[in-house]
Amino acid sequence: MIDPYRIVLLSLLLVLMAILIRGVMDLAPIATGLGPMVFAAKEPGGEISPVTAVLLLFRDYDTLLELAVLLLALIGVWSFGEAPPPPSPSPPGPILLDFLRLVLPLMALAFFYLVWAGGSAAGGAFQGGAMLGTIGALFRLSNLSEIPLPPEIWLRLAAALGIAIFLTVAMIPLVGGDLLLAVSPQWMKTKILWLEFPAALSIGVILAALFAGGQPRRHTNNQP
Amino acid sequence: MAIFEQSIHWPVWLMVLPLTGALLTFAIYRYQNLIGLITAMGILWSVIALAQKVLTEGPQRYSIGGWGAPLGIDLYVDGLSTLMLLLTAAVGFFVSFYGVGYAGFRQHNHGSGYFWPLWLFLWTALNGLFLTADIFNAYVTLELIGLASVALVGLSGQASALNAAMRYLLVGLLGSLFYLLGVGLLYAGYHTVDMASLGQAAQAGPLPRTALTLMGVGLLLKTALFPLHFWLPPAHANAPTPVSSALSALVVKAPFYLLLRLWFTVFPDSTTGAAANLLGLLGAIAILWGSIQALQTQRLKLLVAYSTVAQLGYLFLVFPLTQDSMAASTAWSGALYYTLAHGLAKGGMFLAAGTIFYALQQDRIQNLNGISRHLPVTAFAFGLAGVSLMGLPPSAGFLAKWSLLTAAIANGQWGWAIIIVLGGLLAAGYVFRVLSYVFMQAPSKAHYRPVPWLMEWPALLLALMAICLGFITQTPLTLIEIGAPMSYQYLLP
Repeated sequence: MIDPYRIVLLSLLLVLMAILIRGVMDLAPIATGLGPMVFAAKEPGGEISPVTAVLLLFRDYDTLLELAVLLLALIGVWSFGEAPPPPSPSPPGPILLDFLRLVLPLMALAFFYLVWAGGSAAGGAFQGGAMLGTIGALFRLSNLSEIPLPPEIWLRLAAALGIAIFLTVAMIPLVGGDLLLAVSPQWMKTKILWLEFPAALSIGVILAALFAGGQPRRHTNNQP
Repeated sequence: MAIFEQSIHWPVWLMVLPLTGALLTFAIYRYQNLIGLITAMGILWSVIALAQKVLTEGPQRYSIGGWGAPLGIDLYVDGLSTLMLLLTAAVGFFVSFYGVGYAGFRQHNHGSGYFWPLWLFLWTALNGLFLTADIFNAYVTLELIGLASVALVGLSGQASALNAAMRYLLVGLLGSLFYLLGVGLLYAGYHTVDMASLGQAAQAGPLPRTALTLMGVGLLLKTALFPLHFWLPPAHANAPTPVSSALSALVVKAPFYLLLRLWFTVFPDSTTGAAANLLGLLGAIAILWGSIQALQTQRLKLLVAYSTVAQLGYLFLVFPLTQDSMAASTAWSGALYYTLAHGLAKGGMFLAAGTIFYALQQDRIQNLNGISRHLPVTAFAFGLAGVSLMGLPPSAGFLAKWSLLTAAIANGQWGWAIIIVLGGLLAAGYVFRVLSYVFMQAPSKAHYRPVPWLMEWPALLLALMAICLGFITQTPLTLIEIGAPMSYQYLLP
């Protein structure tokens, strides 16, 4: 028995699909886009990766709101309840521990490098933050219960730090009568680093906390 | 201070204030109510200052970082934006106070600590959407609005609320993706995401029409136009009351606002009469269907939610009614006034319904007997909001319906005129169905919980504003004219 609603839905989606194909056919095959404009505008700031320039100079307001999206996702997940308890209290095996000893410092190093390099090459806050988040996920997966979690207030502050610094940097030009998020060429790289490091920290903390799946349990710290 | 003297920065404060408030209420946790209320007052102050500026100087453009479109992101404030910002500030202000008084939060202590950060994020996102002149930035704000709303709906933690929130999340994401697909196409075609530049670049053709169709479908899904309204009643009815009020009064208007922008200022060449009539037709069905559902439902909050489905239908009459340039400006004014009137009245009505729900601990309509004796302020608020929803004079709802009706008759579009009148009668039906129980002089044996005054007065003040805007029409109508997409001809008395 075929559901009639599904047929209606399918035919409507097919119509949309046809419209989409018609629109895509209309696109010009070769286009330069805003590329040259981006390169020209970031020129006085020195050696800045064009991607970073778009994310943290030209469209930094978007990035600010995207950080807000991440934080909001965390608040939303926390509002639904506490994190499920860790699956089993079995301690990690010796091979896993050795592996972690090897790989965690390297990951921490990679985190710093990715954020630092983001100014002039591929990398940046989101990539670095993903690395940091992975460290958190590894910790949780390997049942290292003897490592104390920071109290929840520190988690909250760390998660909010990226936006807080971003907002402060955004407001500084207002004091001098300039526009929100304005920056003069010699400060471009400095601004990028100031925005990226706290943002990367917050992104990492938020991703790790999202992986835990809920608000930290109240009694995490005084386990037997 | 230089910041205040220059005062080109009011749009910025509308973003910075709620965002700061959201961060503080999340990170610090203590003094949430105090921080939240101060933020609400600050936003109200900034919106009024911005409105005065728009009234004296006309539309404002603000280039963030000084880059300017197409490289950077611009904010753009005209009459339409200002009106939406004012509505958001007014409803948000009273919802905030109601939130402080809302005793329902004290029952489930887990979720209640998250009301303020989520609500202030939602306010940030709404302001951001009404301010932006950039279709990609609008997408980011839509995502913020969606996520915050979903979390707010599920705040009570009950199974029904969580189910509704989950459905809302999936629908919202689907809508956002449709919208984003359109944005991607437009950038690929025109290398800009700025509304004004797009408006200049886009001529009639398959590409802009495809983009508008995709974005339109996504926005219709989010704004719950019939038959895409299925997610709305459970989400709005099961949310905590201050949230229901903000969702019905503001959140469903946000995608509608974006659709207005796209339709009238970005792609006026790509729109067709057939598409406009289709939107109008769906709106008309929404009016009838939503009203009939509201007449049948047994629960008060669900009735108010179905009424939102119906009332949203009126907004979509703006598309067919502006096709004929003769009465276009009247229809435009009418639809925007309707947005304002419905926002205030529905905001007040949901607050009142929630207070009744709290006092009775249930909201079956048959059990509302004689509740006006126990909650006179709330009953009065419900009645006043109902007056505006029905479109009785002298309310804002009357003025809005009258303008739409005038436009329909001047165009000779009698079908729409009949729908407008019929919708008003049906609204009277479901409002009086509630009022007949509320004002019944029968002694009730129900046990009433005491209600704090902060849960009564915000509803009444919102409903009163909806009535007052029926008298005080000069300023809103002037605002609507500023930067309107059609030349103004006066049909209004």
